[in-house]
Amino acid sequence: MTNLRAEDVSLGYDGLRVIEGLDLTLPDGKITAVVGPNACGKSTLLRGLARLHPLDGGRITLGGVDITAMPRKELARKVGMLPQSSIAPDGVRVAELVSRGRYPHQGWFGRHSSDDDAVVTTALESTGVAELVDRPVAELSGGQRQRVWIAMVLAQQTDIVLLDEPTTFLDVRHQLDLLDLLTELNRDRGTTVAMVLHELNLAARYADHLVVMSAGRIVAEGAPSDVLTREVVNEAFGLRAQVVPDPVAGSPLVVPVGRFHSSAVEPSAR
Amino acid sequence: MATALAALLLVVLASLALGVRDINPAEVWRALTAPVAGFVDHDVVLDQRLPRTVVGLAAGVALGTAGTLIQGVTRNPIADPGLLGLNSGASLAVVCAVWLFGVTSPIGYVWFAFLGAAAAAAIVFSVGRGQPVRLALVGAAVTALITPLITLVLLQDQQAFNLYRFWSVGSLTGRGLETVTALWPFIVVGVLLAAVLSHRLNMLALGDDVATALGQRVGTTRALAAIAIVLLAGTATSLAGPIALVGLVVPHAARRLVGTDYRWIMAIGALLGPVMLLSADVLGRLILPRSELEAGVVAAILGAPVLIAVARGRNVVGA
Repeated sequence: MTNLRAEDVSLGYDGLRVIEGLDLTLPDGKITAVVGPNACGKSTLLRGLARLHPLDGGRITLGGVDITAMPRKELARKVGMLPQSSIAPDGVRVAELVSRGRYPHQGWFGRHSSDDDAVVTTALESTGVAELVDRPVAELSGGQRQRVWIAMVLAQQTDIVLLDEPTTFLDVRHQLDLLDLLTELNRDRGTTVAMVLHELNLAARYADHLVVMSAGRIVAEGAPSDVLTREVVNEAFGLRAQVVPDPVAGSPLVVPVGRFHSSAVEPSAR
Repeated sequence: MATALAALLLVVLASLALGVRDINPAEVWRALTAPVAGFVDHDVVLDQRLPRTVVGLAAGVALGTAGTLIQGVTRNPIADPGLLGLNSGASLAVVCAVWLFGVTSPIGYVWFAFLGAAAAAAIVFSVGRGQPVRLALVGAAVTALITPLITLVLLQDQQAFNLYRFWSVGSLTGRGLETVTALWPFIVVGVLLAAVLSHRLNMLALGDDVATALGQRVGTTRALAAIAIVLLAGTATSLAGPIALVGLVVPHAARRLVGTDYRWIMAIGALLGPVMLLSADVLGRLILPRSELEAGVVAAILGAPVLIAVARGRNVVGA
């Protein structure tokens, strides 16, 4: 068991509590999506799970061990995290950026082993950016760039990968591309994936485990088809919506109701 | 790497061979290997050109390394020892040393310069807390606070004014080998720290969060870098005065040559620092007939166009 768990966790910024007494277990080998309105604490929670943000209370455990008791490099060999604040230094090329994911496996001067090269090559291939290795990252499209960052996290070779809004700046096709890629990694390698997503319907489609947050607490969690109901959407987002089955995937599809469009048909479905 | 080493060798030779006084290369060689006491040519080489070459090497290595470290750790492409207030801290300490304690020899105010730089760095780093913009703002505030204080002291004391005028322009002459003898261990420690930190800077360049997620203790990196920066920039300022632009330009030039890997940028920066400083010094000896321009002046005149060229170039590399 390598479960990553939050136990009675409180998190905040400069005395301002964002999350109070939250419990969450990321199911092993599954895809978990965390959704919720802006400022509900979902990114903060993910940062806490990756030890990027200090806890005000409670603890985060990995396989039962408090992660603050582990050396950072050891944690970085088990839990990978792609934050929103990543910076691609000007002029850096794809191969170099991805190979920096090997850092937690290297000594102080970062000597490269043939093992490192093999892992980097695999990461480049499985994210479909192998032909871009010599290109400067700055010259890539948004979708390609995000794949490169994911390749960097894969080069870290962790069993758990956390991603903070990985699809935010992508158009809808590239969002699907990226989520398909993550699903592939989850299925092929058994990697546990947890990500914060904005797009409710994609979260419902791709997640095995959906966590809906609001105002620093979990409103509901579980299989998307159980969790994503009209009531939950209303409670979490303060949004009137209809929830119908996604005609493609069968997962719940949230159709919001605004001020100007009342529903033509009030379906009985959920 | 080989090019940078060759360039360094070349400027060292030029620094020993060229100057206001014409001395032929064979005589320079003899001065170094079999000096004749009392022979003016030999005395000039041994007492003037050799010490300023050694001072230039030491201060140049320190400035190139410190500049690379500062830009790497702050992810700020315009950061240098001046921006962080280290030079003004050192300057204030030097004028106070002259004014209050009547210190007039370089070896005397070396330690004051060092302490001044360290004190300024302590303030800037503790308030700036590693946030690039905050560091730059606090550095600017410290400089703004100190500059009028320096003026105030200079108005009080004529002797301080005269000494400061010479020191503040940045020069490799009149320092003597004993300053290097006293300070070289700081440079060695600073350069070793910089070497150890160079790979960490590669991760830090991706952002604090990515570096942390990759298992780096970012706070430790910043603290160690701050120590190395104070050691190196403090020593350089003590040796050669507040030299502008070398610490700023060298990392950019190094990036142009070797790309984005700080392990290489650091090594090349350490070599290009003395190349630029000694070139400035040698040029300063040759530009005016029978007279010299200070290395600090020439470095600024040389550095500005290089900086503009870098800014106009395709990639201004930030971190």
